[in-house]
Amino acid sequence: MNAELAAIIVHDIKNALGVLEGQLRVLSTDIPDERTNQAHATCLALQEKLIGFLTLYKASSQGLTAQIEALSPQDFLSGLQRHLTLNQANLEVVINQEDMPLIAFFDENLVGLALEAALQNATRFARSCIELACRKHGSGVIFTVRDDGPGIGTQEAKPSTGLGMDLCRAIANAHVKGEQHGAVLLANHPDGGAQFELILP
Amino acid sequence: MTLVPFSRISSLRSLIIDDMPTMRQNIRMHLGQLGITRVDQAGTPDEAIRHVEANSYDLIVCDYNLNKETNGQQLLEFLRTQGLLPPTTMFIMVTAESGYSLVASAAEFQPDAYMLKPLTASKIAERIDRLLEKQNALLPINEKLKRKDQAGAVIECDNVLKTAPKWLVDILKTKGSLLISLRRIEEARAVYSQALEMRDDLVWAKVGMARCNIVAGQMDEAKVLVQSVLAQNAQYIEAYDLLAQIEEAQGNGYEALDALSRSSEIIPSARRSRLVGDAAYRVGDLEQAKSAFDMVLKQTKGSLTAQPSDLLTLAQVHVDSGDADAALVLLSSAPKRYTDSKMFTSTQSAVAAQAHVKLGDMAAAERAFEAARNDAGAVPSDLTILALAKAAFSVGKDEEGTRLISQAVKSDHENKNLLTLARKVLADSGQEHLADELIDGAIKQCMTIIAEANALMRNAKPDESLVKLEEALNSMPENTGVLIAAAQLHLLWMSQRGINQEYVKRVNRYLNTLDRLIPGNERVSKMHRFLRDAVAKAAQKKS
Repeated sequence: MNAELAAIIVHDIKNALGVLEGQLRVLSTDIPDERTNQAHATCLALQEKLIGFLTLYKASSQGLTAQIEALSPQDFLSGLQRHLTLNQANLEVVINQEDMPLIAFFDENLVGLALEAALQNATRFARSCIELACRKHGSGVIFTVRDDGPGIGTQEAKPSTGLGMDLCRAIANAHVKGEQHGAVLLANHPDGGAQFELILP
Repeated sequence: MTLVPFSRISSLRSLIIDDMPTMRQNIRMHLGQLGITRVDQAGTPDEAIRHVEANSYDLIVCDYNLNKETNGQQLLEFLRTQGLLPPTTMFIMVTAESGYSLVASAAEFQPDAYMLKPLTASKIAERIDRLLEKQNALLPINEKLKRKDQAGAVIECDNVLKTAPKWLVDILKTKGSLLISLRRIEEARAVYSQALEMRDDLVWAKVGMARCNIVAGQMDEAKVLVQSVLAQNAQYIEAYDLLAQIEEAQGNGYEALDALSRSSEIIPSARRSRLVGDAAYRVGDLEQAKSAFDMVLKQTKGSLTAQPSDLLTLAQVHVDSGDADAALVLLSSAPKRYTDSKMFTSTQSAVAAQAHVKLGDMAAAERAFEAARNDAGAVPSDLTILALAKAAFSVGKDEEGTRLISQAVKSDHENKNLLTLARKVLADSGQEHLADELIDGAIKQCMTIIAEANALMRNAKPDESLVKLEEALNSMPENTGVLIAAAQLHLLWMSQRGINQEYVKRVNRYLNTLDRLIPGNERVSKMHRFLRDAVAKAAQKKS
């Protein structure tokens, strides 16, 4: 199946999912139950995954341009944290403020997509806690998502497709400053668990 | 999944603009989850404009893809340039990931936020929350700006920076712009340097530096900076506008037109096409003027964004290009709401007269000219006078044509574009030899009035001085030179004789007209300040 056909199919699915999400949202409002909430959350996560795929497709076919704006990493990460906490009641999500600059320059829509993809991975492996951070790095920043799970290289119950990382790489690459492009890194943290890094110039 | 509605969010009055009813419903439900219940909906740009004209919204959520002719970006541009949006309205543009790159960087009029579809209630809440926080933090600055107190606003910028440093970039942008407006160039340069030290590729800071150079008269340096910005980001519209401004200032009409033309390829908005059309007409490039105005008419067809002058200008271009038939057809297609205005029908008949002459029908031309003259009224617009003058020459009424050109020039003798167009009419009508004497004569007449008023003031005849200027303004209400002189002399009168409520009202009127005609003018800002200080001092004395 060629990429263009795949994108058309995903678009179709995305639209149909929109309808399903509406139905689930009404359900979870009318029947505020753990299970309906979960179903709704799963549907939302799936929608986001599809957007990620379409963004990746666009990056490979037309190129991706980052709209760099100045914003507060604290506000940005708090937003993510709030969003995540709503979906995952059993995990603690904290923000590590060490070395966090007051302002950073990045595309919040794209970086949001990237970190959400990284978070989806982290929530699959985390035992109890996920840590978000943003620290200064030269004239840019590094966003990190760290979980307290078993780390990389261990047996995965459901192997991932790696699409998430491809998306993150494309988004990092779209952040350009002069000759520098962004990059991503996924490695084991010395204190345990896996750490995802999004390095932006 | 329910969210606790924040009370300040739930009171926001909102408008949703999207051509798909299901999407509108979707967004309405999200807003409902945040406690926002006062929600209006619009499915087309015109519906949106009508809503905005009738109501004051705190929040507008607009889809980028509206219909074939207009997108959300063009709607936003229209709303902002027509001043239809209160400054505190939050405008959120929603786009699918596929349109994302298209949308943002090329934008001249930025929304408050771009968001990707699909939206969720929590994402909207987070964004709105942040926007409200910013509005709140920047309030002291905007309060000063509302009262046109630019110097005060600069001081507030520094204050807010101390208490809310998170908004550094927004504040620097505002501060830099204000300092340029106040002509405090070295301070403005310092602001942009500070920004560039933070991050050396900030396009807006480079453009700010270029604007500093322009004001300081360093055109070549400005051009170099602007071209380097365009090399880095070929979509940055403001850079093209600056380039056009620099080229105009250096007398390079064609290069200015080229810059505008490139910018309209990036943002093919009606407004931009109009700018290109006007510039093309001024340098005599009828081809480009025609295609630009054709574009404008096509884009605004049947929409509230259409302007009567577009139709008239295109008709004039047709006449000048030798296509008189096309001109007449176009003129007769004017909708009723245009022809309700005498100003419009006057110009319409004036251009028609010219067309009839070209087609050899002198009787029709004479009739049209009579009609045009009758509808013209006491103080016609520039477009009307010039069309009327051209018509007069074309039917052989040279004396009248000459008088009209003189009247046109006197209506705003410091307006370079108007002078260029007046010369053009004379040249096109074979009256080139009259140009210098006529135009310089008219300019001199205006300057004489101003000089006489100044002399009267110096010779202790202040009341007569002011009377002279008020009289002049009756026949040339939008003459910027006379308006400035009138404002200055009234202020001088008051500084010598004390505050006079009637004069304060007059000066405010003059300054507001000047703000409209020549926005961002340094002399005008100084006078705003002067007036404010004078009124404040008088109030103090009383208490």
